[in-house]
Amino acid sequence: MSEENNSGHEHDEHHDHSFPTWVTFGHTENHIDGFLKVFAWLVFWTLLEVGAILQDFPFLVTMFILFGIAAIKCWFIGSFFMHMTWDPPLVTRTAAVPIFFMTVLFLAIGLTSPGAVDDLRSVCGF
Amino acid sequence: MSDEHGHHGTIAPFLFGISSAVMFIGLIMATAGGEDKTGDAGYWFVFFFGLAGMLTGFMMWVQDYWNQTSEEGEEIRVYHEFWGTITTRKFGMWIFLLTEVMVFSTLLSAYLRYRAAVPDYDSNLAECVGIDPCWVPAADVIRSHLIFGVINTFALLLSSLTVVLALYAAKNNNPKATTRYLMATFVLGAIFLILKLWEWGEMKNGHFWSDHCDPLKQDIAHHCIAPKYEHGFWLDTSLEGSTFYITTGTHGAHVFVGLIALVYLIAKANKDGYNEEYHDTIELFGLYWHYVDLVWVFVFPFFYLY
Repeated sequence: MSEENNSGHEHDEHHDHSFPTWVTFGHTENHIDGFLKVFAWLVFWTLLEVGAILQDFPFLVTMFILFGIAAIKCWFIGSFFMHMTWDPPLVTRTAAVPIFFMTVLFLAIGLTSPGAVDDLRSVCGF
Repeated sequence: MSDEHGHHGTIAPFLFGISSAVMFIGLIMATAGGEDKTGDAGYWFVFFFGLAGMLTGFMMWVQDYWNQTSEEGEEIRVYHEFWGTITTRKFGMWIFLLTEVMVFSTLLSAYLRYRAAVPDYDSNLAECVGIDPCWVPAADVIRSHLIFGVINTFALLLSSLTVVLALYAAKNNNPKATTRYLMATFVLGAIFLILKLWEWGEMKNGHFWSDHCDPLKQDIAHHCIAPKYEHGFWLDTSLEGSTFYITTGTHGAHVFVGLIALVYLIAKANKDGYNEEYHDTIELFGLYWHYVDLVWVFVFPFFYLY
């Protein structure tokens, strides 16, 4: 492993694990307390999610609520449980790589009707 | 870092990976190969050969690390100049998770594609007269027993918390607490799988709806999904069943793999293997476990609520 070394680099992992005050309802130095409050947020969003489906909202409103809440829960888990808030930017950038593929898969393929790509001329506009 | 002090690595992961590929090729060919696509029994040998290789690789892997007094010694904690801010192992784990995102994105986008192509069931729609052409979501089948999906969601969220607590217990040189939190994670993961298997069994046998359904009326409000699913809801019942079981099954397989890893972590923690200095494996496992939780955050609304 001659190409690898652990000298000459600034390893800035795990130096500051402070939570945003709005997440913990005030400043806290206690990590455990912070993670418990993140868990409480996740429980809250899950209850809201289940509560929303029991209401008779229009389809688009239901979709907006469900996937909006899923995205928020994703952010909580990624930011705090997976330490992305505190890890170096490289981690966030690496995690962002599949966003392009997800966009293609979900928007360009998943949410189109099968007929949408049957006629390439109509898709490409010529 | 000189070679004599460096981590020399192990061939075990490569053996494990190649054997997995051989195993799956064998499985596919044995069940769906041959000229008539009904399976070629001769490939079962390939399947078992791959399985044996996988188990051998796994045991070699565990043995290599088990005997080390400090599992994540400085010899492993190396940094490459390209990703100098995080360890090589952590960067590798993120790359692995990146590929995992692709796996589940494919499954979920395929599901969305089918949902977009087939109209949801509505008794007022002319094309739904025969019922089969319309989509009856798994969510409607499960709706009467939604509580189990909700319990599973809380179990996974709570298990994510216990993994984090295990990591911080290790950082605080508290091996007993580390072991306890890892065991709690295992129990929560096991609860998730048991509930999932029970739920599958109930859906397969059609126990999720009343026996008094009007066979000509699909009355979801009264938990009657007749007649489309009067004999149960299973992998080969319909496209709805295929997408539901393949996606939740793939997720369940990831939970199962996590439980196997947890057995190792618990055993290692129990012999004081993790402390303030050496706790990277728990952190890396945590990333995997949180990712599994994160996938469920999307699977739950996709299949249980929508």
